[in-house]
Amino acid sequence: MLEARSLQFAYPGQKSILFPDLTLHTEEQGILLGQSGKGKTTFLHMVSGLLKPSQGHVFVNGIELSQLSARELDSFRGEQIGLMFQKPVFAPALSVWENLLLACSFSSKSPDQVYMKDLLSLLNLSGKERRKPQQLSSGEQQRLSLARALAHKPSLILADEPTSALDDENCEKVIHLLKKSCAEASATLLVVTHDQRVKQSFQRSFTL
Amino acid sequence: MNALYIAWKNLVFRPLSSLLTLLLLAIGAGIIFLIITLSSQLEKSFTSNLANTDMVVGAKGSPLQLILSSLYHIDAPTGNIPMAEVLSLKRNPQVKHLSMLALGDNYAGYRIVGTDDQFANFYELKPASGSLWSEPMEVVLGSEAAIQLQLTLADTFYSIHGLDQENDHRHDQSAFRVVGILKPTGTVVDQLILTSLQSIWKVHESHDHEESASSEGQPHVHSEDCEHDHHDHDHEHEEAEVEEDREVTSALVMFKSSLGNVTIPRMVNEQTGMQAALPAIEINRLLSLLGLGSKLLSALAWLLMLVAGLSLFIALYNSIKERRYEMALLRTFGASPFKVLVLLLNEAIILTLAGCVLGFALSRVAMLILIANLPSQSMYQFQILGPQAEEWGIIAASFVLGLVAALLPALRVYKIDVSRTLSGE
Repeated sequence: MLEARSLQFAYPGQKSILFPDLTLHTEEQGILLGQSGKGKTTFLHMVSGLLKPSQGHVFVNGIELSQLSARELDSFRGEQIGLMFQKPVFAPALSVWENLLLACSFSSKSPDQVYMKDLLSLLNLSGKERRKPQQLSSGEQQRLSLARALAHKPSLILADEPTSALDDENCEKVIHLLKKSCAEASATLLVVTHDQRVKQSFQRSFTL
Repeated sequence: MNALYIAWKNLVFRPLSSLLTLLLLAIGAGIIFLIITLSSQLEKSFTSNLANTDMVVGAKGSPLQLILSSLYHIDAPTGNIPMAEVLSLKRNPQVKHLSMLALGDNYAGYRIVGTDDQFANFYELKPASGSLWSEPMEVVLGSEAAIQLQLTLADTFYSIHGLDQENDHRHDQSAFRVVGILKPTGTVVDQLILTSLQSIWKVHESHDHEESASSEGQPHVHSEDCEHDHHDHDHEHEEAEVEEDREVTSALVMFKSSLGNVTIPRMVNEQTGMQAALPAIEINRLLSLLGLGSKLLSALAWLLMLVAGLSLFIALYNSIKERRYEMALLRTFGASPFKVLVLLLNEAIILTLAGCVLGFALSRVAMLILIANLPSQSMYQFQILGPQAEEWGIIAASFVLGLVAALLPALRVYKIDVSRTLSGE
């Protein structure tokens, strides 16, 4: 479960951005809509503990992130949160499979390789385990990014603009996959986007 | 997946830059290893051949040459000295042992040394087969000489005048007969052919008639190509000659106490026509001359190592710039900055250790090549040794060098702003 309460953030020399309150219960799927430059990524980073809010509180599974030490926050994130970035980023020296393993390397849970295999086949990436990520098409990279966010079985998935680069058909597919795989993994999902096409796929929606 | 595996993958992913750093490290470390093993073994060969000899007396000339020719058998002798003078020195109460040497002949490149029974006080002479020489023209072979010359007991051979085998002046009137072969001693004796002084005199009696003799009793400087006989003596008086009128090349001296070191050399140099040289001093002088060269080389090698460290620094600095997304990514997976730092340091550690191992292998291959190309009758007995204490020190030092070179750029992971990096700013 995720709860953001009266969050504010100020970049140096700029006015504070005020963020709406947001609550998602366990296994709920929601969307946060907002125009470019409104602070969508900032919100996502605050919620995932990468950025410290100047005001307000974030609770993930009942734990307030600001109460954790830097080290605790790192390992909490490693175990509970899966992130999907706007721009797919991978470790280029490692294979597709090793990139998935890498995502699990820093949490105390040991990687569930059977589950990871299932993820790859669900996302239509079977047989590409030994490729390098940069050898995949951009669609495949997007799906790998999703697989990686799910690989360590986090309880919360945060996706940043997962559909912005896709056409209508693929947009629908990715959102479908995202929702389906999060439901199968019993993970809470929050998608942050400016893409209005995605809105009707979610019951819970918030606006910046 | 452990951190070493990830580091290894990253190194292989950038083969050129990794290879360059590896080679620089390997060459630098290799040269240092080679210098260490070479100079320590060289020093050992020199000191093990000192053989308790406190002083060497011989004809006037270069003291170092006297030591090299009489103790190490690698240079030409300085000339001859009258035996009478040597025998009077032997009677000095400070002298414990004195062994005379007559040098100047060889067989197939192996030097023939005429000496007396005192020689056994300086070197360990234990026959592996046969016995020591007793009659003139009987020889005893050093272990290595016996193997290389393929001579066994009762074999005979003719010696060649001079110290190199190319000389065509063969003493073919009288043949030497092998009566014994010595056990290996690890000293220069292994490479020698030993016989009595009388044998050497006998061999040279016959052809003294053909060559112009130098004036009696006067030592003459031994010429470079050893054309001149240094054992020659006035042949007109040959028949009447008593042993004491003969000449020898040099004598090894052992003192009763260290007091002899102070008084005897001075006495010899001032009051006789001979020269006294102290091996310990001369060898120290030689080793310090060699040491100067090896110091220069090692300084160069350390410079190479430093460049290798710099190359490691630059490679890592650039790669961190290029890999900051990846670093930020690792942070989102729950890696603390310290864990990312360790990941980067592992790359440097793998490179440095691989460089050291490769450098060590290179130094040993160089030694193998050196040994294969060294003439077999050489006094240097080089071996392929495992890492010595000093070399472990070098490995530790390069490890630290690699770590420091990597630490400076790797510390930048602490400065990576994960949020900013990932949002593409």
